[in-house]
Amino acid sequence: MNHSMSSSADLSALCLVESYATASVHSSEVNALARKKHSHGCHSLPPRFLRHADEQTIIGMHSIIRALAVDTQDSRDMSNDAVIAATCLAGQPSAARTMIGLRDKGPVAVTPHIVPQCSLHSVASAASVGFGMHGPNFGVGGGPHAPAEGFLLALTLAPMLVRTSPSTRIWLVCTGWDQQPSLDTNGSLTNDPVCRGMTFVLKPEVALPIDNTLPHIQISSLKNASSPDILPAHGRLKELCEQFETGIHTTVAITDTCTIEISSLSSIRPSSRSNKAVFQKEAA
Amino acid sequence: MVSEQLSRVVITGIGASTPLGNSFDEIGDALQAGRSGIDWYDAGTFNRLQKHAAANVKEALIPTEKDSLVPTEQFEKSSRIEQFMIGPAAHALTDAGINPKANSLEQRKRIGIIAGIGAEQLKDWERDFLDSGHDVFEASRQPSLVHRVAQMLGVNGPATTVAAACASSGYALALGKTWLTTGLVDACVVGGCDVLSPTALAAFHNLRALSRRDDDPKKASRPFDQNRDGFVMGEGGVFFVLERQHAAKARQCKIYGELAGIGMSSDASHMVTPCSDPVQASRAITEALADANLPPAQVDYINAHAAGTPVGDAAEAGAIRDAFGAAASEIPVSSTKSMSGHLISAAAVFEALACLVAIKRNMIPPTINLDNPDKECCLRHVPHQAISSPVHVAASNSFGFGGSNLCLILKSAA
Repeated sequence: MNHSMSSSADLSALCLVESYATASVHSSEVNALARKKHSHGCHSLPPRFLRHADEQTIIGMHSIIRALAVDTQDSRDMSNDAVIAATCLAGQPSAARTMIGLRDKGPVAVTPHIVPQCSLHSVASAASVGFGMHGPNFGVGGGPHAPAEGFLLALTLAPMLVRTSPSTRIWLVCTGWDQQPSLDTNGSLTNDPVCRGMTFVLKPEVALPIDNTLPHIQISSLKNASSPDILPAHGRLKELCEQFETGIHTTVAITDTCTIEISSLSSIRPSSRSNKAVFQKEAA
Repeated sequence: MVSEQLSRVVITGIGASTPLGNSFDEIGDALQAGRSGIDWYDAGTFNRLQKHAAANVKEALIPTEKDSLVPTEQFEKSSRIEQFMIGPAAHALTDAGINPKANSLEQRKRIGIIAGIGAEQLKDWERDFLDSGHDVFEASRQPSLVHRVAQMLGVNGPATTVAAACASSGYALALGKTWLTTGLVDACVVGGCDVLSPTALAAFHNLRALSRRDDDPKKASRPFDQNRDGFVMGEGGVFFVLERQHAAKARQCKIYGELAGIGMSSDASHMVTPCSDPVQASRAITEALADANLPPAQVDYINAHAAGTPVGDAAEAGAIRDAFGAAASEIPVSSTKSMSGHLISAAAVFEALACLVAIKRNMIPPTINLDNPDKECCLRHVPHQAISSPVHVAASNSFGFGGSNLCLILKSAA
């Protein structure tokens, strides 16, 4: 049988972007980054909080700190906020070393941290625990579509939060590798890829229309989302970050007829300097 | 504001592949009989623990000719975790009377899919590694399972994976409901799946989260009992089809129940251990009741998350008492994990299914092995045997690593 299509689709989910930042670091520098003090203003991660964390958790937390640093609010109360983390193929080096240990030494060699620190929920949970956010926390994606899925689920959560907790913000943290780590059979890295993070601080809104000069994201329904100007859902985080650095309006495909529009970020474009070193190293 | 027509979301299709059976009725019979699906489990060559108590799926649900969505050969070539998604998702669509492949492309784009899977890539890498593969050393950017299965099923709407550890599939239900209430889709396949694996068993064992009663598997899962010593891992997949109530009624399809309320919060306390302060878990329950517009006393049954861990069960009992107040001493509470084991990513949706069974049969499934209820877990327990009792409204709690709290309210179809 056919199910009937809705004629009353209400795609009005919308979030204002209050802050956003990107961060990136080479794999070889991740451990040093983890040991740094992660704090801004009244917000800081507990000491040694990241000692068992996955690379993508470390860069994700760093991008949150950067987003706090460019935030318009000096002492933001994060206690009711929600966090969604869209990660792509996280935990690979830890997984490789764990499986080598399992094979060579048996179950005693399996680190108990693999589950809490290398699962899809890990980045979101670390943000929730580390920064004391009591709103919903969950991971999304896991694969190449992760950033697009992250934006979609932030806009999915937004109407719920507007209804139940209007002051709540959504921290959308997207992480991934520019190139996946390559490991030898001993579990040692044979490349030095860049690990990238991006954080959006989103204020859920339902009222339309809004002032289009305000930075915002929203779901849009298009007849044809295959235009060359539209980034594919499986695009790399690096390309998305570079697009945002230009401050240009960005459209990301979710399905053939549904896109996410990310608009007017130029007014809060903070992070080009932060990535300069990495981009220079990549260029070299 | 969301209109009444958009806001009510019902369950019109169910597919399941679980340690207690592969159909709504089979699982219902096991829950009503207090039958355990837990047994000894061989985790393979690399796992050198002598014996594991675990709840494995004896035979995965195979899409039948009636499902006609996935060819049998394709199903048989699929990995175990893929099978736990393909079979139940295909069956749920058939059960709901929806065959995407017979629909127009425009209609197929109005069907979404959300899978709660906590560590899909880890499981994929492990399976490949144990099969002498090298994927974990040179990982490729292949689409996630949910996208591959969506393509198989002919589901062309939005697709995503969500994870909140042991509450993952509950988040899939919650977010799927919102896709419907915001008009993003007209039908949504939601659920979760997980598989037993040597790494997961070893990691949870080394965390000291698993029961050590491996010599007596059927007695190992003991939620709320004073001699509980951890949970028993399980596996399986359960998927629902969600639709707006008015659309489901218009096409006169079977309605299992309404997904009436959702509440979500985070402890923000610890990456593994639940917070002993019940305030945030209690908030998730309270928000779910408010979302369903129901007072606590109208809840007829609480399906507890209670996995059998010393800290978690006591914390949940405190949250239930806090959220339900005086009604907590009247409402029957049970943990079906005593029979099913802990299905990890699929646990929340399995327990939502258990609530739908309770609603359909007016029956409260028991907590088996509850010989000596812990004084710290003082609630109105249903030990050992199911009881008959009218069930119109059921609450299902799910809590996960990283402090994720979720409560779903399920109602009988009006």
